[in-house]
Amino acid sequence: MLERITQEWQALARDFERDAASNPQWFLRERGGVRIRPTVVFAELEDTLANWQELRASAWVGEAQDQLITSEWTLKNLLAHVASWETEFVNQIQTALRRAEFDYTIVFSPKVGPKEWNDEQVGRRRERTLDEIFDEIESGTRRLQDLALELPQDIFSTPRAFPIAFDSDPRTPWILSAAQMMLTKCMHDRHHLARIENFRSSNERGT
Amino acid sequence: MSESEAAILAACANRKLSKDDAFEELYRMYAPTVLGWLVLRVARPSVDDLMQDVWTVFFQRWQRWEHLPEMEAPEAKPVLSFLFRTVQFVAKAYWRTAHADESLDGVDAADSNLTPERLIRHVEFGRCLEKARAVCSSEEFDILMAKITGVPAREIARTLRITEPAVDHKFRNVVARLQEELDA
Repeated sequence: MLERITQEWQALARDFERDAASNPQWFLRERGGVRIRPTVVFAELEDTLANWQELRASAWVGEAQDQLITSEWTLKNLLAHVASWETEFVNQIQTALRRAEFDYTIVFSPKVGPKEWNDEQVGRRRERTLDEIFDEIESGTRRLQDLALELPQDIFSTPRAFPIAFDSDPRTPWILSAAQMMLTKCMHDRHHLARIENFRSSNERGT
Repeated sequence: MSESEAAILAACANRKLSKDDAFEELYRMYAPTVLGWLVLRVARPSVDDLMQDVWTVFFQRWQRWEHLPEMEAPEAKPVLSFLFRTVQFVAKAYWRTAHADESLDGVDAADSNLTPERLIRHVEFGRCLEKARAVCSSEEFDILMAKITGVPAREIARTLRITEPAVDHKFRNVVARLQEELDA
């Protein structure tokens, strides 16, 4: 039976070879500049959500939560930092959805980023448990997934000013679409997930 | 063309193959598989869009792809695993949005890509697959498709958020059940 179903699958795949082989080139021409659809953003968010859930399910994270992962932050602090951005991205996109104005700007400083804002947000979460922090990460990501599928096309795809100033000047806000913002959040998550994975690997190696 | 995913990844890591050329080879190698997974999971009118979504996600990830030593094992197949995982995720988004007007049988009247000849071939070649789709749960069907296309059990387990022994157990069960159904 397994052989038969495999043969059927192979016949199906052969049937698709002609369709599928026609155009890998257009991806290369577009250089990833193809129109981002909500499904893509949802899938990227689902991937990061799955990674956070895997980390949460591991016994290691509970044991290592108070270890320093940077010169100033413990692992739990770093997760609180991720949670704070999760909530911030949701708030900013919901504000864009209401077509309301932002009455603040998060200002980055050269090399250290928005240190003041980050420290304040981590400080606010200092008394929370690890579970509460993971809950915030997961619920924020799920809310972004809902938004990805529900946002009107103009909010989803049209660049607009968000209250983040990368070059230290609050008068030059970050201009991008909600879709790009959500993909940036995924990159931010992956950056910290990789950092945590490296930390775990060096812990296991005892270095 | 290199003969395996591991060979393509190694050639790219050793700079014997450019990133773009490697992407093209991976696309040619796996596009029919991705298309097959999608056709069996979602209604035909959505397949092309979701196919583009899957490759868009992979293209973006490919730009920052990190080649790790464990990826060199022939059975590792990290790209196939990534594509399987991404198909699951875009399909989840698809099911979250309204598609009640689309039929899953792939013979939608609006579908002009399927000529009658190809349609007949699908039905003829797809009896076993159709039976599997009819009698398996969504998860069982995903496991079956992943197994017959060579996705490692560890990655199937990770994507479906079940244990590796559960993947093997469910796979054995579904194969036995399908055999009974076909014998009946």
